[in-house]
Amino acid sequence: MPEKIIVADNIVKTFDEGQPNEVRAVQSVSLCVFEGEIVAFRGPSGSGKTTLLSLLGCMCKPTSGEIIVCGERITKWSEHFLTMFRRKHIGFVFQNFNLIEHLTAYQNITVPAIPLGLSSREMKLRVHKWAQILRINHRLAFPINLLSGGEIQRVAIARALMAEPELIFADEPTAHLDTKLSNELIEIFSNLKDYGKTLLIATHDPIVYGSKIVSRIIDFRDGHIVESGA
Amino acid sequence: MSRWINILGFTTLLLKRYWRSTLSLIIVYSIIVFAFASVLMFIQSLSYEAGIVLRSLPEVWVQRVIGGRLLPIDNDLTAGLAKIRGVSCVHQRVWGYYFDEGTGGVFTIVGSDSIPDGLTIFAGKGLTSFDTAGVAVCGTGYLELHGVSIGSDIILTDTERHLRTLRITGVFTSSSDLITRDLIVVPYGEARRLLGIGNTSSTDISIDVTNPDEVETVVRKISQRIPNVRVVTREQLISTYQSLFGYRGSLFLFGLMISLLAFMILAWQKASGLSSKEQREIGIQKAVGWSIPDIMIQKFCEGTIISFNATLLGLIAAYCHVFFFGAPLLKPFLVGWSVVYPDFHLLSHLELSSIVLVFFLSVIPYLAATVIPSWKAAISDPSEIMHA
Repeated sequence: MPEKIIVADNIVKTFDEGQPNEVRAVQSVSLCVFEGEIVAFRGPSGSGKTTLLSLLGCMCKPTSGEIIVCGERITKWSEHFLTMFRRKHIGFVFQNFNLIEHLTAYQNITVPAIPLGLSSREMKLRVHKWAQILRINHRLAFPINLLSGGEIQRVAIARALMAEPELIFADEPTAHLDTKLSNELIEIFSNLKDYGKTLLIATHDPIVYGSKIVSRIIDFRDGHIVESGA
Repeated sequence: MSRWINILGFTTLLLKRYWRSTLSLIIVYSIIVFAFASVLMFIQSLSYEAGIVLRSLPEVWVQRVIGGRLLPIDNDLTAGLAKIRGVSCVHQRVWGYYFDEGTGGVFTIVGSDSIPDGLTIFAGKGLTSFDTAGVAVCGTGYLELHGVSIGSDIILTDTERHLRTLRITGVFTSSSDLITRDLIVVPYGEARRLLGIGNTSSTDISIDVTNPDEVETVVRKISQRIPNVRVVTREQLISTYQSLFGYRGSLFLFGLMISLLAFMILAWQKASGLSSKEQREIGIQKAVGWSIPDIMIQKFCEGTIISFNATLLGLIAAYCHVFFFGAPLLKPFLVGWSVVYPDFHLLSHLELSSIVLVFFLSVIPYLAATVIPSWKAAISDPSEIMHA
């Protein structure tokens, strides 16, 4: 029986609380994610999927409620400890890739490993390992502005894997990809599952949530979970 | 340690990315440091040299002033001055300035029957009391301007427009170019002829005082007993030089401080108004696991690399400008026209405190301008990058 890797209990996230422009992005959400699962958060733009990923990914703290990630109650932790925890356990693939311009693919992939204090040899080994799995090892020396959309996406995934996290969070990963590249990405995610990674994907792309690799779809609307099922 | 090395390597990468703008920033920064450090080094060296020059001066000297003009002083006063209590020694001095029409240089002619105190002969021989005319010991300025050497004859014009031929018997060397560069020492009789000073008078009379604490008393006695004279003390001259260098230097430094301030404001604005690209990059770094201290270390390294290199470059350029090339950009303003020609070389005198001051004024503000705004960006919520 797989272990629970994420547990969220009645979490709420309110922006600009008490102000006229107050927004309740996540409202009373409870869920759990098991090790090795690929969970898709499905919902329209503005439904709160990205905010929920940020909360579960220790990027920000909930206004109320409790979150447990990898067995740790992280809700009351300081920003510094959340960062330390995130760098070890969680990798992010952003909607807009968020790579650093004018650096090469190799240099971008190493960014999360820099504060870890890894030796250059260890970094090189890790970069080449994931670059080979993601089939971008021949493009490592290229600046990212010379790479195709699919290659850039794979560089972003390799960067998320650089610190060898158990959890991968992907926010609208196919937003800038065509159908062919989206299918390739699904294949990559499937490979990551084989490596024991747990994936949480926020998406409204049927190619992603309709694929066989997704263990569970959680429907999200107006900050609420509408439906959760396999 | 490897974390620091990794961050330093990453910082270098980021700087190399926009190497043109990084280089431009370092160059502009260096120019400002160069100007500031040049003035500082120049004033310091000049003050140091002035100290050496002034040490060789007598404690007190007496000049004749009529209607505000300096005139030769009667030698008869010597005996009266020697009788004043506290005076140990009295000398008649014959000296003056000589305009060399051929080169446009201004030289100092000093009458003496020996080598003046504090000066040494670099080559050849000095003067003796047996030399009464026809010989000279020169500073290197005269020799270089005329292309002559020891044993050569030089021709000077006296006040009656008669030509005087003098043989160079020696060349001066000194710890300071400022003392000997424009100097021509000739026998007393020759100096009197060249400067138009008769045998019964001198340029001024120097006085040595037995007890240095009694200088003021001796000065007061001279002023009370002898009319139409000006009594100058070494301390007065030291203070005048210090004020002069300080005044000119301060004016320059004030101007430079304004430039430095303007640069710092620009740097601050640039840094504080972190571009959206820089803010985004800080957000990315935070999102992928960089902590606030990690980002601070990176920005600190970035600021240090730029400010340290620019300051070092500026300091080296200033050192070369002042001590190797003779400060051609500053000399006309800080020294004055009368001693600009013949040229002189400044002593390489640089105090550690000045280097520390330049680094302090240059590096610290720049680091603050780099690190503080980045810290503001780094404390923002990393989840903002998710919505970017």
